[in-house]
Amino acid sequence: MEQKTLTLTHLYPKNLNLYGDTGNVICLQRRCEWHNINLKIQNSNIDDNLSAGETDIYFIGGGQDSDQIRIVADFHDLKYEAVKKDIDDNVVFLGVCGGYQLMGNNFLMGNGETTRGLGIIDIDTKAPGTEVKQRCIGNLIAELNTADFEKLQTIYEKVNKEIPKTILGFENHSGQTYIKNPALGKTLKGFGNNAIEGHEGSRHKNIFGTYMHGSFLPKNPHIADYLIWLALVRKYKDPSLKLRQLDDEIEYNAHRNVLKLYS
Amino acid sequence: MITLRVVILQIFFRTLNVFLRLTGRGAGTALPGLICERYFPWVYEYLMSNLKNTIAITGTNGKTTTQTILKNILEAKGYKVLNNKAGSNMKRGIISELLKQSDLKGKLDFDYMIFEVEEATFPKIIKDIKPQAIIVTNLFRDQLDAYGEIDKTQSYIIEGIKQMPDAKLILNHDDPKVREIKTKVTNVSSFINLHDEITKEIKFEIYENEQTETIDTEKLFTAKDCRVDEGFGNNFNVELKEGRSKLLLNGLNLNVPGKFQIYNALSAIAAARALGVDVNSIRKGITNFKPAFGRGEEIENFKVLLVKNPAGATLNVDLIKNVRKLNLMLILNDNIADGKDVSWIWDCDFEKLNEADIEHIIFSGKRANDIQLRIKYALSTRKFNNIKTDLEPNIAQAINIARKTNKKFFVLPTYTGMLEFRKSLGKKLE
Repeated sequence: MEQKTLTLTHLYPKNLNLYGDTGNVICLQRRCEWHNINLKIQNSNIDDNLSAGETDIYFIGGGQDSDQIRIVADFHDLKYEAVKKDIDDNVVFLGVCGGYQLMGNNFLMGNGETTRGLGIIDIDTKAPGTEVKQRCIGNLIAELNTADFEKLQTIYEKVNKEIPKTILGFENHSGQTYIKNPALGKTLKGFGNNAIEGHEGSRHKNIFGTYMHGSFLPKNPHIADYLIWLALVRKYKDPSLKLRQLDDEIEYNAHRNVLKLYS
Repeated sequence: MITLRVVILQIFFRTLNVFLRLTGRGAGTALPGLICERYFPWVYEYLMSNLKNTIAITGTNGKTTTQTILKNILEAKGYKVLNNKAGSNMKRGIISELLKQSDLKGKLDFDYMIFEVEEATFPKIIKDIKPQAIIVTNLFRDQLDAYGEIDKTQSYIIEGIKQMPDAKLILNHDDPKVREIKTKVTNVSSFINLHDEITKEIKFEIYENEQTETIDTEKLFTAKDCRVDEGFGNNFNVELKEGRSKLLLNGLNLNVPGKFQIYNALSAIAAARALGVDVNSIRKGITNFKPAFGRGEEIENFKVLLVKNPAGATLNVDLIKNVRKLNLMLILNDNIADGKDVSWIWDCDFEKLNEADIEHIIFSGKRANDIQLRIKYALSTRKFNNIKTDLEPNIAQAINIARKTNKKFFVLPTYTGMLEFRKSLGKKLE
């Protein structure tokens, strides 16, 4: 059987690279290798042009305020149209932490000012009100939404090891995010989108946003596989495609260790 | 009256310390500081009023090593030097240390006093310390979950320096974020830099389109011709440019692993010169230097290299990757002093271990699973499968596994991992 190929576009890795975000890219790269998929990784930085139809998975991480502001202008000038066309066409998009906030209509900076976001998903990030005393920092554990969880059961040839319903990572943000699309999950421990509503992340089409860094995908290999599967099914227009369940003992041990220590 | 109150407190704390030691609870380093900060705030002011000839060291990495080298140099000159030894360098740590070092009346009998100060604490207490000289070692991403971002860390330091316009500054010219400080303050400054390939390996914070200007400097201390000896020590020469005079200090030997440690020696040399110390004492102080705990010390068959953040971890990986038949113990904890967020391990370039000749890796600490996962993704599948690995979160047990092999192990622990490691080996902190 011919080896399948996927292309991942890492948006602004030079500027947005806080908190081990690159770990998510490393994770997708290695897991594709193990699934016998050739994953091509291309970086798209400031001043780089971007065309629609060339990417199967987008990834964007978080950065410092000064960097985030710089990339917003560049994104609207050089990349918005391509990305918008792609995500409407169900290309997979993952944004983590600062990258997640950036994906919204607007986001909050450290000085309390709100700035225009990338406009990829319908979320708004505001300054914390009086009800929030400090930054939301700590281990974050959530229960994956049912629709995605049910779909996850269908991506493997055979489910030998039970797929956890939990997702987890570490959050560190002061901005409070309000979502209009469904949440990625229900917060079990920590805050998630905001300190009040008890949900975490946002979902729309094949777009995923989450506050979980830490890194997100290595400790949640089921989500990593899910993104790979969604990208494959879209690219090869074959909803019956299946992945082999890998030996993820080390991955799920790390996952369970966080559950044990912090849930 | 105040003296009497100090005497009473001192007697109480010394008794408490003896009690803690006897009951095997170790040295409660910061406990007296904690108590005074909360219940006797006047103690801090009293102690601070006794300070003289102080030097402050801040920056993300290398504070402890720099401090120890500087102390060595000043002692070689014959001075009596106080430093805050245990590396617990928050405000309460400073109170504890001063109480311990002072006599019963709280008086300090020292010629020089060196303080390590955490970056966020720096602007808050710098006026109390009143340093003659301030060293800023470097600005790496460190404990991000505690302080936020590196730009903010830099602003803390600038805010602190501005309160002390007469203090002499010692700045790392190779670190753009440190060099930039000079453009925002008026202090007399000395710069240090390193002429070596290693500078390209060190990931100083620099952003595209944000080149900070190279600064012409009257006082520049440059290390050249750096070579690593068999025990990972450094041999190097230093050129001292001070105004029109140029001095050469050749054949220095610094017994601490990692070429990047030369920066710490340079900072100490520049500070010593700012205080008027002669080159012979400098040479003597550097040669006599013995690494502080966790900074390359050897105990039994273990060589311990403390890891605090991705930059430091990557440099340590660089250092050990050429060792033949490498045996490694990686200890990852996520207590407050380690940084509760362990995501930084994904920013460390563990991929470099693919070049290493690895025999055995033991993963230990509270987050042993996370570091094991990181290494699985860093190494090629074939390499990872061919290495003997052990997962043992309990550090004492991990030590037993290593001891049984009779092999030399390189131990890379986070801060509290190092403390536990030492405790398990049966070594107490001073």
